[in-house]
Amino acid sequence: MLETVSDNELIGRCLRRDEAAWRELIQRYRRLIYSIPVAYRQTDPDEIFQAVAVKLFRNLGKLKKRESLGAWLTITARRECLAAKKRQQRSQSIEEHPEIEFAEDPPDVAQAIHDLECEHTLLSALEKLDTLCQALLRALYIEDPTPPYKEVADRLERPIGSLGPTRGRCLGKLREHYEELGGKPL
Amino acid sequence: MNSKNWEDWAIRTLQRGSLSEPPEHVLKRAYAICGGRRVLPRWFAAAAMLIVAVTGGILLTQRGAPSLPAGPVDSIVRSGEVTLIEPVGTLERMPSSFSWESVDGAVSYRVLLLAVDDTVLFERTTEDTSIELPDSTAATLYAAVAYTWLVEAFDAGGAQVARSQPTRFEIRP
Repeated sequence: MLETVSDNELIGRCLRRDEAAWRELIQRYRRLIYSIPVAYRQTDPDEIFQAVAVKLFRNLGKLKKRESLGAWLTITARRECLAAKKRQQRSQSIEEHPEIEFAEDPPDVAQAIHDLECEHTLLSALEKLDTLCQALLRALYIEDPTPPYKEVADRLERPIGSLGPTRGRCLGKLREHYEELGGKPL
Repeated sequence: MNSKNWEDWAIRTLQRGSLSEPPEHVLKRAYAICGGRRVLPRWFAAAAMLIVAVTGGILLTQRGAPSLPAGPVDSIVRSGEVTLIEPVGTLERMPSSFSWESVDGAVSYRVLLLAVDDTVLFERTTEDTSIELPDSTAATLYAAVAYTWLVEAFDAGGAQVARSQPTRFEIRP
C-alpha cells in the first residue's frame, strides 16, 4: 500500500524510523540514483548508490522541498560522481600527470542526466495510471518483444478495436500525471 | 509542446528504457541504513566475548584443546608503507580498536575514519600502533555501511614518512 503514499508522507515515516517506508523510498528512486553513476561511466556505481542513500538518510529531516526529492537525489548523485572522479584522478597520478583537470559535466552527460530525470518521472507517472492503462502501455511500449495487438486485446479482455482509443486516453492521463509530478519540459 | 509531439516523446522514452536497475545486494545494503540497526555497543560485545571465553574454557578443560586456527597473517592488509592490521573487510561486530604495524622512523601516527562520502568521522593522533574507537564515534556507525580508514606516519620533525592506502570495512547487518 505504500506505493500510493506521497514522498512527503514517506519521508515523515522514515524520520520515525519506519523501515518499510524507507524501503519504499529507495525502491521508488533506485533506478534514477543508480543510472547517474552509470551515465558518468563510474567504475563503482554500487558505492555511489550507497553514498547517496546514506546522504539521503542523514538529510531526511533537512529536506526543504520534499516534493522535489528526485532533483535533490540527482544533484547529490552528480556530486558524488564528480567527487569520486576527482579521488580516482588524484590517486592515479597527480604527480605524474599534473595537467589532469577536474572537468564538470560534459555536455553529453548533462543531456543524459536530463533524459534520465524525464524518464524516471514518466515511469512514476505510468505507475499512477489505473491497471488497464498501465497494462496496455507496458504491453505496447515496454515489453520486449512487443506482443501482437490480438494478444494484448485477449490479455486485457477488450475488443481489439477499442485498443486504439484506450491507448489515446491512457497517454493523455500519462501526460497529466507527468505534469502533476513536476516533469521537466522536454 | 502539442499533444502529438508529447505522445511521440513518451512512447520513444518508454521504448528506450535507459534507466539502470541496481543489483539486489546493493538495494539490501541501502535498506539496512534505516531501522536502527546500529551496531551493538562495545560493552555488549565485551560481555558476549567473556561468556564465550568462559564457556569455551570449560569445554576445553573437558575435551582437550582443539588445534589452533591459522594466525591473522592472511588478513593483514599490506598497502603503501603503513600496514593496516584491523579492522579489514566484513566484520561480525563493531571494531573496538584500530591497529597497524609500526614504521621505522615514525614517532606518531594520524588515524582517519571516513564515511563513504569522505566525511571524517574520527581523527586522532597517537604515538602507539593502535587506538581505541570511542563509544561516541562507535554509536554513529551503522551495519551494512562501508567505512574507510587510513593511517599516516610522521617523524620527529612532523614530516609524513608513510601512509597506508584507504582500507574498507563494514559490519555485517
